[in-house]
Amino acid sequence: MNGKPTIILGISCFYHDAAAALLIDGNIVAAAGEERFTREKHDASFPENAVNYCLKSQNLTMNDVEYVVFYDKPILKFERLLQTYINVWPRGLKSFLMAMKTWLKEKLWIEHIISKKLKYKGEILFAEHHYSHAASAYYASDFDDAVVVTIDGVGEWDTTTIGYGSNNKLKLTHAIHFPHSVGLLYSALTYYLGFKVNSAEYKVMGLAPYGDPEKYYDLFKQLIEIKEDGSYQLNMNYFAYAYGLTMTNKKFHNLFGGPPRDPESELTQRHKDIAAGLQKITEEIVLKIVQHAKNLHPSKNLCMAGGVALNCVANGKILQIGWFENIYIQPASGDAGGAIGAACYVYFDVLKNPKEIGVMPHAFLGPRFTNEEIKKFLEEEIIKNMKFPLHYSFMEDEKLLPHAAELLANNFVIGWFQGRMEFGPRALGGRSIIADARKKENWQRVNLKIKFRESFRPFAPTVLEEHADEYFDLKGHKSPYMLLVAKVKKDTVPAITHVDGSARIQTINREENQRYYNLIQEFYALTGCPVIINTSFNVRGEPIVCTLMDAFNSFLNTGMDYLILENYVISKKDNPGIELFKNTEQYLKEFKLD
Amino acid sequence: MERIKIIGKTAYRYWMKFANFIGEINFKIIFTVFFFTLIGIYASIKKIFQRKMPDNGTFWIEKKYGEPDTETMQRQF
Repeated sequence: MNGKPTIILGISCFYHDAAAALLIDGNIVAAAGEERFTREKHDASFPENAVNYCLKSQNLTMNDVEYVVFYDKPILKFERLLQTYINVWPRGLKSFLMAMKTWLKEKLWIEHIISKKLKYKGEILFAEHHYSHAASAYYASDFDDAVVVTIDGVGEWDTTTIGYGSNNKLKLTHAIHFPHSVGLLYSALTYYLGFKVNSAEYKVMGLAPYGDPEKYYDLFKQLIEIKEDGSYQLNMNYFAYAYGLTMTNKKFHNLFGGPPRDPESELTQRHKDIAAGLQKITEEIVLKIVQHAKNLHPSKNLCMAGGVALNCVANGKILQIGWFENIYIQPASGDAGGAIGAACYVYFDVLKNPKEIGVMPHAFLGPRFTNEEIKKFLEEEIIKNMKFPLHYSFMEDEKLLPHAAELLANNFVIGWFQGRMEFGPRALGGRSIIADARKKENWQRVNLKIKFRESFRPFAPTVLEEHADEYFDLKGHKSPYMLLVAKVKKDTVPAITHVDGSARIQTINREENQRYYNLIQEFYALTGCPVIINTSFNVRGEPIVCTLMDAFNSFLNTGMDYLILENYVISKKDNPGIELFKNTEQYLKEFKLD
Repeated sequence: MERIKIIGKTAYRYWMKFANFIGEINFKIIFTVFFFTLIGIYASIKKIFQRKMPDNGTFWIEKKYGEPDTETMQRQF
């Protein structure tokens, strides 16, 4: 040992959710999605801003980085692409021309792009896509060993894998290959139901409880053949994604009784029933896969990653069955998390460092702002530059937390901006909009006046960990990343109870986020309720806020009542003139609907 | 001198626009031909000799494992 730390930079980009993650001596010290900086949701472009943030946060430069790891193997992916065009020929010309253009221009030159954009002269490594996913879950977990399951749209060839991790060795043993993919099945139906692919799959999951899962179940059985061991094959006669520019084809539309729903058009009961059928069959497949994985690699621990691992309803079912004592799901299970996984894979598997606990103790890995920076921002950016006579106050935590709890209890909605930004799609109390979960009207109010999103979408609760089992059927498990759905046991929190009586739960303890925990503790002391609404700090189509200006703009242009930036409190009530600066229509236009 | 620079820059901009336009057409022609010839021939031969995979009762494919090291990790395949 020469005492020099091993610094590894993981990168994922060019498909969706570009991100960068920095690993120092086996600890993930910084990670962020590019979308947060460019303000384009699911931005796939090279994550220059995210890399710069990661390095700057640790006072490093690219010269300090020993390895840069890309989260998949581009040539294998390109081979899959060509093989697919061969298999579907003579169809697929349009898609082929489009694909060749992006591949020959950009995707095949990733090594060159990394060297050039980052001015990096060291070694660039490439991890397999599903190894990146698997490593992002296994090495971030605190387990000595675990069965690992990854399910997503597609990597190089693999779409689903099963493996096993023990100490610093991760082996993926079984796979399902493209074009057969649960992730793509879900995306195909997301497209058919009029939502954005690779973006709005979670909306379909939220829509499902409104429908009858049995109504279209038999049709789904025609789309996919599922074996008892969880392996499956799609009937490709119904899908167009292998050769076309759409996900489904005419045969599919005939089977389901009509063309795809136009985005933003009315959602009928038929759409809800289709979503319910899809969710049912997805759960069936996921459960069979996990059961088979446990049979192959007996372990009391399960790790999951890949886009489908964000299906928290399916995750909740795994929890309910009780096959595993412990379940860890990577909070950034989509492609963004591949940046973490690729870096971990090199540190542990390739460089043979022993697996440690606490590699990723929480998801607060993004930028933070100090009280001094906030004061400067308010004084210079808002008061001086925008010429807005803003009234704000500063409170120490002892005063601020009871005050914020009181505001929540009085039914005010708060933009809560504190500490480091979360990595992954969920806001966990760093960049959150919070409200009282006891008032049912808050469901519609926050959806329509603050988030400007569809009214059917449910809200997630944050609950004090020690009270989680009183309110939710979590069977003693923690759910720190909002990735498990369970039944709500009490009827006192209607704003977070979905129509099927379930909720997507975030449990919180003092170690994970002390300040947010203390806030809910104050709310509990005041009201006797340890549960609040926690939704991401953004409007529809907007990435979660990253900077102070993002948060202020969101506060300004939505129906939020209070904005709390660390220890600074701003209210709409104290700033009636704020309405003159508001331009909600223009603000919402900046973001493409998802 | 300044005027020549401005004219030169404008001419360059329009030339690049034109070149991109021609490049786009070239690309489409070349790759359409590639699609219907090389890919077409390969696809036709493959279809003739392709055999249906027997049903083994599972669709799982066993993955080969190779001990990873920095050398193999440098490969993009």
